[in-house]
Amino acid sequence: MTSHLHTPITSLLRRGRVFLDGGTGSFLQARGLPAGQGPERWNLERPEEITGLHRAYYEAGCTAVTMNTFGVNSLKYENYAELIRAAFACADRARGEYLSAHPEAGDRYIALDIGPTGRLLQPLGDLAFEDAVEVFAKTVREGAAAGADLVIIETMNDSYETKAAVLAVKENSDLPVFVSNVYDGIGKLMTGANPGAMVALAEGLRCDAVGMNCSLGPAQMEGLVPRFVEAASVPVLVMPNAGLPRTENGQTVYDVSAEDFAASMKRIAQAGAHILGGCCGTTPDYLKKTIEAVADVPYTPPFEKERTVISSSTHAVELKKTPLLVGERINPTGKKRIKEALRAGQYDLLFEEGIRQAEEGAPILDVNAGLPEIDEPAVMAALITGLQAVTDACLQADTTDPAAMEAALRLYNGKALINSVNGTKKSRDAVLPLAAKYGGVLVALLVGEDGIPATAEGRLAVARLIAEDAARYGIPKKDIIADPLTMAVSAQPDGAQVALESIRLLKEDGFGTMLGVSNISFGLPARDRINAAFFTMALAAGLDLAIMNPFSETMMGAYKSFLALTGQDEACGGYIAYAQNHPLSGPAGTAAPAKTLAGTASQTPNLSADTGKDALQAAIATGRKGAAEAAAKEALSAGEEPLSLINTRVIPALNAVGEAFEQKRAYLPQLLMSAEAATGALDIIKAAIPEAKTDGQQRRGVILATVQGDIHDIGKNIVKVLLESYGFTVYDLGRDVAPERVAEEARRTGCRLVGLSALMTTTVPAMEATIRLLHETFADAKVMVGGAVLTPEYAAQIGADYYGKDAMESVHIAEEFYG
Amino acid sequence: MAIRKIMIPAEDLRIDRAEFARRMGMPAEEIDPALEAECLALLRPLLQPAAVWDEAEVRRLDDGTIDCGFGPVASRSLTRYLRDCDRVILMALTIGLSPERLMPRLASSPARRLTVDALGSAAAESLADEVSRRLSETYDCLPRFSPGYGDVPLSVQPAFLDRLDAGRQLGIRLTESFLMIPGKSITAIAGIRRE
Repeated sequence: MTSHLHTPITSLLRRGRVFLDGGTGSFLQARGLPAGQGPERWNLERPEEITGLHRAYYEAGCTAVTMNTFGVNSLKYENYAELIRAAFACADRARGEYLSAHPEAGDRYIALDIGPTGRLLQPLGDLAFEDAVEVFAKTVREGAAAGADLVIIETMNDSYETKAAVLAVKENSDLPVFVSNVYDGIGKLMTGANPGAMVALAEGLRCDAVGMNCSLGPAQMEGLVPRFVEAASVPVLVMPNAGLPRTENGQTVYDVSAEDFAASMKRIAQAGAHILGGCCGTTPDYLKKTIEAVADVPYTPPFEKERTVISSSTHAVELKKTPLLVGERINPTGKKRIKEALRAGQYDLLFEEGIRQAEEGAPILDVNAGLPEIDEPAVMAALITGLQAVTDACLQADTTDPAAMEAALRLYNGKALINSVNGTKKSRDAVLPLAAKYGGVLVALLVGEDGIPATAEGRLAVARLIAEDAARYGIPKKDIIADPLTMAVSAQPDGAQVALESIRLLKEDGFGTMLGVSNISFGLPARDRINAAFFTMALAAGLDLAIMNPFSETMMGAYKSFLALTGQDEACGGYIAYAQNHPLSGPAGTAAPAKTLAGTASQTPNLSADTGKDALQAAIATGRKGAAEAAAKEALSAGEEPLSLINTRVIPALNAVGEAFEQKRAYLPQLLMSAEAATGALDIIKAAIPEAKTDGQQRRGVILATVQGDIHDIGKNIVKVLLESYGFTVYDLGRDVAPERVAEEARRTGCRLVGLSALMTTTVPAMEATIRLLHETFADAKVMVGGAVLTPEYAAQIGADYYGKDAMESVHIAEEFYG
Repeated sequence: MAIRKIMIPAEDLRIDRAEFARRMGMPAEEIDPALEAECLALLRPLLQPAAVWDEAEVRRLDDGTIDCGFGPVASRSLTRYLRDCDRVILMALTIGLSPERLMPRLASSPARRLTVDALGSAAAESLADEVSRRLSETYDCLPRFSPGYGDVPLSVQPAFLDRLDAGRQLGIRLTESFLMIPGKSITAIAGIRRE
């Protein structure tokens, strides 16, 4: 290795623009590389061509060239290490030749190029996050050992894969790292992130530059550049394609010429981009013209934007502007059903809670799994990965267990709120390194070594202590939100006063602030009232974030009113919208219809006990879930016995639709709508059954899975909802499930009826293996199978006990199994 | 020869209603309009339709295999399909990850999941039809033939996608069992009729 470097590339960017190179394909195809063949083989087979490519870019004026390693990783090439070393040798030779010919030239750099693995990460794809990190880590270790000066992670269309790659760089080298993603015409990655989200993620992970490349031409990228420049405190990188390729007289031409490209790049430089380069279709000539075109454009170095930002997988949320809500409901404290769900490892209830809170207007969700008897890091990992798949809301990792905190921050697809660090040395030593490594906005709980200071000044002192220590880890004060703690006013008369005074002092001192508002009312009746009053006072004092229940109309009313009254709600639009959905209750006796009935009241104006029964059947028959739930409630409150309601109303109504389906008078979507309505009604009716009576019901379980290697789960999910609507308990293992995992679930639950689904011929062997393992392990296990490729004969051939031709059939099978 | 790319704005992609109804398994006139409208409103803004295509030469090799640009394939059905062709169009296209991203949030409503899935499948087919329509202005092509048809195994997918740079251009990935992600993606060969 030959290092000539005097200045790291990051320092260079404080003074002037950096030019990366352009495309590889066009240049090499002109020299005989067949279309569709990865150019990386030429590192070994035609090294002189690769060296020539790099040399041409240096000659064009590029500051850095990217090694020919875009497509190289351990998943694609067994000899990846050899290919990476050869790639560096080519680039290093080009640099040596260039610097000998131009001894006056300054530093020239070589970037290890990292592209996507070629596989998509879970849950959308089948590659585990940590497996992706390991694939990238192998590339990084080889590239760093060879002598690369920096790493560029580029052409990433998935934010999560980007994060895996950045972690691999950080954990295996000290090299600067640039991150570049592929956006569509409206500025979104294939997996949904916009520029703001990627800036937040990259800056949280302490990347040295962030930007975009590929897919778009320079004119399309021009429109997106300001979105990066306004958000980013780090340098912004732009590497467009030369437009789109087309054929003219048998020759490939790109529709943007080198001249037009350079003209666009000049405007991109004027808009504030710091690092310029090219992607598909660009050649050394494009870069040469670009470098000439921007020579007289003044350079504005990147500067600190002083924004406090968190992000989700799709977007960023700026804090300390308008006060924001943090939904508090994903927390087992005082919630029996959530405790049970966490212990059983059944998280659907919590995911549902997340979706509903976000719909109710919480842009951030608190995630707390603090139960003494569970494996908190594992549960936290499951909750974070599950929630980020079902909601775009930002997440707050809320735990006192450092291992659980690390699991959450590592797996979070964005920049999280970290709740919390406190003033004790033990907490600071545990949490600050995690915040430094993974990024995030830190919530500082103002508890010191001696407990909670009694005065506002005392609490401010703790905040300052935490901020000083955080600065040692490179965590800026802007990324600290102080929580001065709310003491119950019933126990401590000045509890509210001290909290409010603390907020004022903290704000003056430059801290963001957060409170768990409802703690104020412990020990008092009608808590919502005093909570709402205190909430308004705290907002007036400058509160930035409130952890609260978004389903509380009193609290939400206070919040919406505050925004309207302080001119933070344009034309009171937010207030009016909320008020329309949540009208005030009138005086006793004239209350507006309850919300659950509101949607159905007009259709069934006179719900009596008798019509309630018919209404229930009608609602199931027509697939109206809200109406079915309302009718079930009505029937129960009219004194109908729950089990009889199920057996004489719900099941017959569903059977009628099922029969119509089997006779082809109704269609699958209609059957599903009816099943959803029946399930909604069943949930309400079951809640009214005394616990002792439900024992018999719970044993009617069915395990469902889509077999290993198959990712189609529509059919399996249809079977699930039908079984549930008939009152069976479904243990759903999801898709791409290993045989061992199915057997383990059978062991755990004691359930002996298993349904397996496969859509592809290629995955039927996995189905067969699962059936064999189940039969070998449990003599009494029965397996039903279904899916597009199966026939009754095929099912019998692979050892299945039952063949389900459609979803209704699975219900008949389960009923037969349980007699 | 060069890989060419087509990007279509999400709002401009026409979704064929007959194909949608076929995927729903019911007559179009019986589909609940509210359900359809709701699911379309969820899906439409997330669509990212894009395609790449290229021309390739058909070579019939001595060992009986046929190579139309992505390596030799031993296939009777492909050989029969291309019996009147010396050149082909290779295409790969996707509507993006929108259905996949919506599915988890529709966990409590399989009817909506089924509908979104059907809309997604119809959107991908419609996109393939649109690409074919544009190509028909220049080429006289046979109806499309996709890997997985007849005796052409899915294991040709890696070479096929690499040939079109579809990983980089469209973000199409493969699982270990050669299934495409995004799921609503299509790879196809369209034989060009000999003049």
